[in-house]
Amino acid sequence: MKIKQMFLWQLLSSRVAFIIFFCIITALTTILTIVAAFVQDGGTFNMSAASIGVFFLFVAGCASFAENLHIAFGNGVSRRTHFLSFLLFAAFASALTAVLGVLIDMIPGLSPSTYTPFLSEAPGIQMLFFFTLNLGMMALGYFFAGAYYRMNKAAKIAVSIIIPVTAILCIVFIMNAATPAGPAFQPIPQFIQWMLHSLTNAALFWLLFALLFLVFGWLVTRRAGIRHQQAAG
Amino acid sequence: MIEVRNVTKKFRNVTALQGLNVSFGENRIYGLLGRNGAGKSTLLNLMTNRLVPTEGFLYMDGFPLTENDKALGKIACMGEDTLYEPSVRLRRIFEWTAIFYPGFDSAYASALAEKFGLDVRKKIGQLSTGYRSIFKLILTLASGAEYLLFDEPVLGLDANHRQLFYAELLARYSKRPCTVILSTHLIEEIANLIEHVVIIKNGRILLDRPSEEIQSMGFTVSGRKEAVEEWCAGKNILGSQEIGGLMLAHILGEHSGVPASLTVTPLDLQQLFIHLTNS
Amino acid sequence: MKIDFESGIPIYLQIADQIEDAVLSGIFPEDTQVPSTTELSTLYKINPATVLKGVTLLAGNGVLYKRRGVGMFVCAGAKEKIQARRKQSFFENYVASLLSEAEKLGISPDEVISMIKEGAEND
Repeated sequence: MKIKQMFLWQLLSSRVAFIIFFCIITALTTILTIVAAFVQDGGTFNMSAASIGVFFLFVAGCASFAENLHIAFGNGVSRRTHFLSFLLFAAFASALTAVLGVLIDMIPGLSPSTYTPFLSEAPGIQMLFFFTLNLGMMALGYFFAGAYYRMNKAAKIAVSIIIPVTAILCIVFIMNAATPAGPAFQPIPQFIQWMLHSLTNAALFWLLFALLFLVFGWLVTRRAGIRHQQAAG
Repeated sequence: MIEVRNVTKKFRNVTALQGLNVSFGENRIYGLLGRNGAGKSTLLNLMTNRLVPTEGFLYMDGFPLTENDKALGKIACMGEDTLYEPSVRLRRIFEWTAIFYPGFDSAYASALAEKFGLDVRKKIGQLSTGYRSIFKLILTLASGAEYLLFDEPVLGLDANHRQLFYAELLARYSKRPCTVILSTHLIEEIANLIEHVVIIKNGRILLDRPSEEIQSMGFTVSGRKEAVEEWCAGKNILGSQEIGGLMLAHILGEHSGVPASLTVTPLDLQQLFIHLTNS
Repeated sequence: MKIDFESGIPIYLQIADQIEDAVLSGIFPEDTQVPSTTELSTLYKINPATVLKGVTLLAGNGVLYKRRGVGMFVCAGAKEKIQARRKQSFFENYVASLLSEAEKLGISPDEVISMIKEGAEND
């Protein structure tokens, strides 16, 4: 098993991106906090570094498929090891981003009383929540990239159109459902209510979400082959 | 030893390999020959786990090869695809390869880069086709692996670099015995390098023999057209060429009883290959 | 040294002949090391096993001997051995074919002899 090597490789190849990301977020938060401290009527501001981290990790997840798989192919590493090392790296990156994000979010707490925190629960719970959310997004990104890698041209075009349309329809549907609607849609607002009720509930949801997409991620990895070959025959 | 047993590989509706059986023993130089699209690259990609067989199995020393890290670690393959992002510097890739292949010889890799005039500070995307091949050759040669697989190793290389590659390959092979598989259609260049020939056609093995036996598989007779035609009647003719009244016929089998009016010359690998793989 | 890949003569025999030639002409004196298998194989771009076969042949003929861990060396008296063996085959290889070619061209044996003498004088 070359999990250690693959993990090390992922650390080496992505460290620059991570360092730059955290530097920018920390710098921005610190500057904005100082600015807020000087401006008397600054009002509230909240950047929520942890939430931005979620988007960053989604992108990182998307970037974790093709390049890593090719590195695995080029260096005698199996798909299984590649996937397990991704799992390890995703857990590591999610935890790191969650902890650092929540810590950075505590910087504005030093600024005047106008500051209201984005999330009011204990940092530990926040970190757990962001960890699961990060993991879920990385798994989703990995799955998207993997599925896209496996598709042929026609499927790629079809998916590129269908996914955004479905997403928009879903959002419209949920927005309508969230406001009291017919009894048939009752479970959805109830579920959203349950999730918003506490971060622990939400964390549980995102953990399940992550597990689901990790399973999907493995399914697209299991028999993935080198791309170029298919045209050559 | 790498064994390929009843392997079939289909890409949607194209069958690239059909029930293929072949094995590659230890410490030998193999030539994997075939025309474009015969399935050479597919076979190499299956042996390096870059593709999963549709049917059949591959083994390394008796253990399943597919998805087996330990077995795959013994193989280094220079494929036609560049597996690194264009923005990565070559020096960095040397460092990475050293992580995965414990036997990777960085000093040797640097020495080779110098001999070929490859600037390791460059990025992959900045390399010409020839230098991209050279870079992949160096990675494979320096990997320290027991099985070195080369898919079109001299693609885009000029004559000097081709000679240098063959010389370096032989030096590496002499210093640290390993199994080498050269997949190419430039047969003449490697004819004397290889000990064993595997010819693949339409996804099937057509010929799998030691090079020594190739010469005794057949011969070429030449002479006056009528004389050649008369003598060749009923023999297993691979193919023939005519120049004016002169005729050359390539014949499979032992040569005996050739009349003095005809000249016998050995059948070379190139001729054998061309005539065997002509459809 | 040159290997003719088209000649149809097995390459290991050509290698052996080339080394013998070099011994005869004094390029490799007695008890000196001959090029290693690796050197020969990289020089001619031929498989080391082929070279080894040629070298082994010479070792069997008493032309070369092996020094453990160092390489192959020319035997004492190798030159004489090669000369003796080649003299034996000289008649078959050269004289017989010379005479048969002369016969085709209608040159009598006496004429051949005088031609040889002439050639030797001019040399």
